[in-house]
Amino acid sequence: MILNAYSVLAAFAAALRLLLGLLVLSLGLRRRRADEGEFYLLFTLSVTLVGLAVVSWPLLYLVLQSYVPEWPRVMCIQGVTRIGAGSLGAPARLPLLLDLLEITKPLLLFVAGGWFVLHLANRADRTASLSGRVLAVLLGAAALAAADGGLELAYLLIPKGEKFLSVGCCTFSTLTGGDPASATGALGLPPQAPPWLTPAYFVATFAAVAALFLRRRAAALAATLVAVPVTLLFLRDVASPAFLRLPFHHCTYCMFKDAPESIVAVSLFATGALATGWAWFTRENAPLLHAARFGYLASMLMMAVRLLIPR
Amino acid sequence: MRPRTRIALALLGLLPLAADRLRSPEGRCSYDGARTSPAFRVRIDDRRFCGVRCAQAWLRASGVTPRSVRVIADGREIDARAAHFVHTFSTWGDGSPDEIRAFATLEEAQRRVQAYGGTILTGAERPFGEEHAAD
Repeated sequence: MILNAYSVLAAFAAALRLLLGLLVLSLGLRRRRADEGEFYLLFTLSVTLVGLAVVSWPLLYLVLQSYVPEWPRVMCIQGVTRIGAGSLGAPARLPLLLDLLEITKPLLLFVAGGWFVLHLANRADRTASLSGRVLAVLLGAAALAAADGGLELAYLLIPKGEKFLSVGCCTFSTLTGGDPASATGALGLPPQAPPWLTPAYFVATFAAVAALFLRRRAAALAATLVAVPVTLLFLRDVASPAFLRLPFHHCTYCMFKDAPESIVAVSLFATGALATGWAWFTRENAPLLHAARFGYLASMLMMAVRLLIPR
Repeated sequence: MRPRTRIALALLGLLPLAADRLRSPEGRCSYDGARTSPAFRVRIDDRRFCGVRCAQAWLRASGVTPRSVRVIADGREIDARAAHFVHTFSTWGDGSPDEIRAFATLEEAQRRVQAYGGTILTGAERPFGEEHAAD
């Protein structure tokens, strides 16, 4: 384990998520027999779990960023994500663990947020008719939190003694597959953004905004499901070269590090996507739809302004 | 749309513009944005690169035919065509961006290879084209 303030904090938060997730699972599964005291305990633990789920996402990237100086020729998180590749034993699992964490983090945030939205709707309902759904979603969030905590703990604890990165520059690794064989040859051209990517991003996001304005939840969700993968590609191949003013540098991590305003744009997009999804958990969803509209619009505006600034 | 929302949208729209004005690319590699070290810097026309590999990659990607390529060799900037390049095996701890080193003289390059291993790049292996006498 690489010991620094971020990794210790992340390990503590991950252990807490694992424990709280298991505790909420066990309490939730015997909820029917629970007394009033246990209900409040369950609620308090669940709120703590949601808080931890929110904090753990940026914390993971702070940990990865703090690892960058550990390897002399790693220049960003992209390099850290490749540590362990090609090695034997447990370190070989490090890239897979990180890939899984990059899926469980947003998923956990989505499910935990969904539970919170459902809980608020249930509390406003005199008959508490949503209690069954609240509990079911909570159990899902708890299971996911425990899995996420376990995965992160494993990632943090596995030794990262590998000193032989094929190449340090994140761009070269992406382009050449990290082939160190030749110093002068095999430098592939950067992956140019396909011409459809920028229109696809704006069309998909605009479709989501239009559907939200028209209060067509199904259409908004469908547009979001298209917009999310398109946006991930757009961020790497269009937004990062534009934000960094480096036409051949396609690295979202470098964009976040060197152009922090991009974090605002991406957070707004995430707000749009998550709020669109959360709106499905309840019928009283006007504030969520408003937040989703605002998130999408603001994110799209920031991207458009960035692309229009002359180089 | 409420006025408050419009103002928030306008402010967020201005954010990339403001951030772009505040940021300076000085001292950054024109290919990957890494900080350039004076010991390994490569200059193609008015662009700076952290090392030989970044400069090569930029040339290939941009398709530009450079007017001049200058590298740091033995502490001074010289024309790349006059430099001798070594593909070294020893890069740890020297803050180098890649494994190519430039030397002003063949003797210096040979000394490096004898001391630390590696190969002197010749012919088509040479970065930035064939060897010429310095201008």
